[in-house]
Amino acid sequence: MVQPGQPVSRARNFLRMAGILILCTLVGRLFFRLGFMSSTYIMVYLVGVLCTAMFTTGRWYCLLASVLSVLLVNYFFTEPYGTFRTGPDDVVALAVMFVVALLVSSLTTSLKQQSLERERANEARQQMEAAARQEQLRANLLRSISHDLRTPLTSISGNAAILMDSGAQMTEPKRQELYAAIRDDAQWLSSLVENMLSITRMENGQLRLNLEPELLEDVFHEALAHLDRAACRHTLVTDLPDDLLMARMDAHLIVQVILNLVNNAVKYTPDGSRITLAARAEGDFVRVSVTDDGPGVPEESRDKLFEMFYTLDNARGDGRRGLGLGLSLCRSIVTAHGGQIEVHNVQPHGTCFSFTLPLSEVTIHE
Amino acid sequence: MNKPLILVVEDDIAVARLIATTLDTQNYQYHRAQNGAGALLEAASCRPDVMLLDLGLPDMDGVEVIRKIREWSNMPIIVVSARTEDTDKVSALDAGADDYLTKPFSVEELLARLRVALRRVRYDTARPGPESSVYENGALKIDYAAGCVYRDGVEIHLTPIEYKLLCVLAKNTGKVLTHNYLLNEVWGSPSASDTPSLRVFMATLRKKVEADPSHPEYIQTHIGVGYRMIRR
Repeated sequence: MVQPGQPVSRARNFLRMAGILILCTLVGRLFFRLGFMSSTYIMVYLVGVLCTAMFTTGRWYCLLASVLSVLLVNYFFTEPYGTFRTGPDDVVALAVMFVVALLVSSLTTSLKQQSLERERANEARQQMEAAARQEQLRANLLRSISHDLRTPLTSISGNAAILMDSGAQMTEPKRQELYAAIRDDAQWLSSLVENMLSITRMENGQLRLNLEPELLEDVFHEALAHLDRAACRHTLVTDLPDDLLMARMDAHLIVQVILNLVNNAVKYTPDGSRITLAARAEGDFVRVSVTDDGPGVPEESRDKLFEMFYTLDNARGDGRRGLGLGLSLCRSIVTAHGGQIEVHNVQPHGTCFSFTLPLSEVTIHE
Repeated sequence: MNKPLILVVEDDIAVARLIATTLDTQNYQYHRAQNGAGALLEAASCRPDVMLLDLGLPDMDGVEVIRKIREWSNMPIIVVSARTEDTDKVSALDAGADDYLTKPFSVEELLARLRVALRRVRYDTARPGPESSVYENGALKIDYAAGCVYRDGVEIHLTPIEYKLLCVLAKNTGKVLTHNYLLNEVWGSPSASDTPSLRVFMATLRKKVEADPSHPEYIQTHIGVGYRMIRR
């Protein structure tokens, strides 16, 4: 079948038609040799016209095929053979043949047209559905982000107003508390903006990656330099092998993933907890893991953690829910790198988030 | 020593005010400009010690300003950029900038960068004249004449390429050097080697030179951009 949207050149169409007719003539000659009834040649050509309708585009080839079929039958298969002259009953047969050929080709062309239109309508509908889903997702995202923006903003403007109105009457430690709260909320907003910027790099659901072999130690160092202030109340340890470890990645995005995971560990574990950031080679991959010794993740939540907008109440009890976007974004980034992200609990208690990246051989060009 | 003079080129009034307030706390003097043309005028007339240049200026490309300044001055230029793409920073550094800050930056970061830049100025002006054959920076010492490197008096053995890398960094102490710049200086052309190899060389160099490679004191890594030697 000629597929919709595939332009077929005139020469191609003509050759196809000619080929079909030649084939019909040969088959007809064979039948003639074998002494079949004359109606069989007509049938062969009708099949030929049907095939022409199926394998060429446009009605003209069918019309041409119909005319040529009649002429060919006339020339080869009606008496007197080898001429275009015919007897009266043959004329009727040929006329009927022509009409049937025309009808057959018309019908086939119509059917093809209809099926083409139906396919186009289907495609259009699918595109609209995909666009609607994107819109819905974007609307959800904006709603969630607006909500998450309002909370720290309320806190910032509120604290600033209090300081302006009654700051002079407060004790210094109290004032410092409010200043610190303002700064923490500003940092929160900063992380939110970074996450959002990573999302904007997604176009049509695809992340634009700048992949390069990077050293894990460089990436770890960069991530740890940008931690939330709250992290200083935890014990942070890095664990890298002695040999240089390199993986193919978009450094800024992976730094974002590591930051999200470590900040999560800080958020969901009590002060003083130990958080280990490690990397190891595993076959063709590098496995990066963030392990804490906090309360662990409840069994029933483990599967849902990477879904967009899902958050747990955190262990620090400050009611500040995570930007549920964080883990879902991490998964998108890791998947785009061809890796996998997972979570499991560790003994005696704690959580381990880990993801894989393609290993890069450490070779140097002098 | 006079109070350092900083030229702040920033068109956003709120950010300019924040920077000014920060500079006041450190007793730095400063002049302000709000666009590229103003920046060039001020730089020529008041001869600042350091220039803080916002890349998103209304009238000129920040990189253009850097190029023009570099035609007659070697003053440290710290660019401030709101965009997260590395290409802006790399272009600015390649055009002659020394360092970069990304918005939102903390006041501590701003002051730290200024200190690094001012240290370079002080060092350069304190030792005019032909280049010394010995480089000293904290516990690190490079004897160019002998081709030896010492930390705390103990000699460190470097391969020829590691030595060359260290020398390029040392000659540009306080400046962020882009990957391309380093590849050019050490290998002659960016195609003779590649950035991943550079990363590996830098990592091995760091392991040899730094007392604690996981907390480097001398060689800073700027992901996606380049490296810098800091003066201790």
